[in-house]
Amino acid sequence: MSLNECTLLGRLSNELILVCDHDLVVREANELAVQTLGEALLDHSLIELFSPTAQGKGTAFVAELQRLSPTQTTPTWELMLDVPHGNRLLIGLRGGKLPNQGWLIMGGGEPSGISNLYHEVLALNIELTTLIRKLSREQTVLNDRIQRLLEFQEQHDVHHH
Amino acid sequence: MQLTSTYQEYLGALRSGDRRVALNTVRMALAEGADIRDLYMEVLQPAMYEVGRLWETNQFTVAQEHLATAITQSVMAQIYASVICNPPIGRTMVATCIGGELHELGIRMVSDFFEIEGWDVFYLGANMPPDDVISMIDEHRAHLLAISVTLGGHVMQVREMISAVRASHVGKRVKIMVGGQPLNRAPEAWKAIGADFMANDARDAVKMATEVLV
Repeated sequence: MSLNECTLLGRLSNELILVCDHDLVVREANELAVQTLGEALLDHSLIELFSPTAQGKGTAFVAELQRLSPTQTTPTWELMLDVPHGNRLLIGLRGGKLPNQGWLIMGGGEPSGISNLYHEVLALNIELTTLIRKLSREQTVLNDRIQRLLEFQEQHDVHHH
Repeated sequence: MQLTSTYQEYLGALRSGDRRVALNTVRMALAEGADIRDLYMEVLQPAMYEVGRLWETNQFTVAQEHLATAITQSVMAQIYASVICNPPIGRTMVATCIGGELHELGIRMVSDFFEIEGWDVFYLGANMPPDDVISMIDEHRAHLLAISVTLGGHVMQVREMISAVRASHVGKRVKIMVGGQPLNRAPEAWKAIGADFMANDARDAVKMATEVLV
């Protein structure tokens, strides 16, 4: 199976397609993969593209690939890749052993912007939690003032009587 | 107080993505007399490390990891009232982290530990421009700047931040503390990037700062 044959599969047209050899060196890539990861990915190990947090997971993924028999397909993995402009790509990896070339790796190239959505939701959550913290702080200050006012009132009442 | 079962329950809540159970678990432990610092160090932090391990071993998706992070952020905010219970001691810290929102939990924990000790803490969020950090240090007459970094690739940004602060008018009066996984792995790196000292965790950070700022 070649890259051309892979890209003919319409259902894969919005995914990154990488054809790698046994050491996960990228031999062929579709247009979306080149656009997303840069032309430099060709003839380089895919592992080099994993973000530091995904290095351990990437190594485990390669080990799993090497354990599989030719007929087996890998389960889906999620790995973070370093991409141009500092963004990290959420990528689902699956595939099987290719007869002559090694591995076919396919992953979502963020067609739905899911990675951005995660970060937006996380940023909103941080805003919310920051507000909750500010409210707690205000509440503490107000409680303290109310306490002092009550004490003042008590002293005043004692003097008055 | 033994927090092993609290940790198991909390991790179970993160696994199932149940914010309410996570919050109740922590609140119950507090109600039973647990020290909030022990909760941070023995429940929240190890649970988040475990979440990272689960992702690395393909047992958690990125979505589950993000949800676990959001739940822990929310839980920390909900119990924040227990953090600000001590009178101020006249020390001020400005805190920031390099590397994005996903990695702000650690520095939040550090900030809370300082607040528990009576410090005034101004947490600036992730990836603040150096000029804004310098302004905050100046405005609040901060004694300490805390910078957290989670990824090795971001250590150079920490160095740039430190260089900018050092070169500014506040550079001589503020001490700079750094921390985070990549610095823990290279114990001498904090010197190379120009910090005054590094801390291994939140508890260590308070201890070190107290010693340095006698």
